[in-house]
Amino acid sequence: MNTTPDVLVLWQWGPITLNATLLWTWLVMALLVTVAWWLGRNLSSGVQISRGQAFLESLLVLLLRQIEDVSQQKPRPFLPFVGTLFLFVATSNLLSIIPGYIPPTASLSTTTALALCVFVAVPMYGIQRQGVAQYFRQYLRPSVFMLPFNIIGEFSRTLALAVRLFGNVMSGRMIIGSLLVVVPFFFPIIMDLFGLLTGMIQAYIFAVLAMVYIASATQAQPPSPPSPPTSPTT
Amino acid sequence: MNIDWFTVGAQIVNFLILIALLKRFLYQPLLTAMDKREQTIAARWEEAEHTKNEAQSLLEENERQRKELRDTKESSLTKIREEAETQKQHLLQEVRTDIQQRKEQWRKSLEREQEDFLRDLQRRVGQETLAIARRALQDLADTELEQAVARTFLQKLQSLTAEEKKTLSEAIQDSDLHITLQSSFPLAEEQKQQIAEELHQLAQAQVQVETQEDPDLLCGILLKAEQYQLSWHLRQYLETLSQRFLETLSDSNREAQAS
Repeated sequence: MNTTPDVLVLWQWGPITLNATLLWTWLVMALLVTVAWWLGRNLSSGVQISRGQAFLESLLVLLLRQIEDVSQQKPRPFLPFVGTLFLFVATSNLLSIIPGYIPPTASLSTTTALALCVFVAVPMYGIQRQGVAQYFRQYLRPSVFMLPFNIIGEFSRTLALAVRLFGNVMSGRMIIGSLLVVVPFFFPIIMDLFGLLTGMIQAYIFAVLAMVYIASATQAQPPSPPSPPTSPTT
Repeated sequence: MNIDWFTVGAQIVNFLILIALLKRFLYQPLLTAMDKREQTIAARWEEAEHTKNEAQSLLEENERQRKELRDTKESSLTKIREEAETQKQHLLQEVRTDIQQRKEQWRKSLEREQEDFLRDLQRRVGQETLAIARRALQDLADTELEQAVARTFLQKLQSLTAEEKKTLSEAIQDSDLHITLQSSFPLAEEQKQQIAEELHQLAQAQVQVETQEDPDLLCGILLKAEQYQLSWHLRQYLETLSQRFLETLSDSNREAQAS
């Protein structure tokens, strides 16, 4: 069986390859955008709102509260980035209940792409908030000798982000595949349910970690920086 | 476990596109709607607060006006009552005065009528008495009533007490021996002579007698010497009679008032 959808190449022209990862990604994107458009097509600013709008609003408020809890800052500027991370990863993982569907997050390329986005987004938010000098000065803290470790930490956490998500999703699929061989029928269904749970948890962890990194970059003098879980291995 | 770098690039682009799309279709419109709603609610809240305050102030104003009205009403009522009482007293006083005046007028007119009636009565009685007496005397004898009257007067003059005679004599002396003799009829010379002679004896001097006719005496003779008067005439009786009438009427008036 395929552990990663990257190897399922549907169409190729030179270096340009259209594999299952990209296809499923587009489907997930299309689904998200369609649902958002469908539910929010008749937005009302009055007190009487449709159920769809109520659902979207409660989702949005949930995201905003989470972001605010983690960052201790005003959540609005971080919502598009962090919110989209969560929605994309969660949707990708939840859809794995559909037979034949391979979540794009089971591809190391996808998780790497997302991790790289976080890797770029952190200094962007930091510089936007603090200025270039102030932002890069924090790599010299607490002393200049810590600079290499800080840089290594920057890269390693990006790598960890990518591999953690990929590993969890991929391993879930591997377990189900293995169990199908050993105990078919009912037991894999339970594991599938576990897969849904881990998928949601991973989406939450990915988004929260991204937020934690961004928050630590945007807080000039963090009184008590939210301690990021250094090695969550869920 | 290998990374397809083209896929990585494509996924980055995909992710950025997804961010843009969700921002366009999800975050922005929803956040705008929520903000608007919050503003609307805040505005409504403020409006409600404003309205409530307005209502409160209106209520207070209303309460104040009601109180004012009540006070004004009470004071007006008191004033009106007082005025009515004053008016009542005034009217009562006027009515009393009016009644008193009418009573007085009535009493006066009654008195006047009484007097008129008495005077009339007196006159009529006198005339009737005179006429009766005259006719009676004429019927009785040939002697005229005047002669009888003169005789009676002469007898009265002669039958005066010593004291009276003295008084008359002094009065004659005081009037320089000049007396006036009033009678209701022309005195016969003989009668006049008899009286003058009698007076002459009394005064021990020649007395000059002046005769006057006075129908008011009704029937009789009046002798005047300075302050002294001696008379016999029917008017005297009539006056006595009228005096009696008056007394009787007054008594009956008093009885009527007392009852």
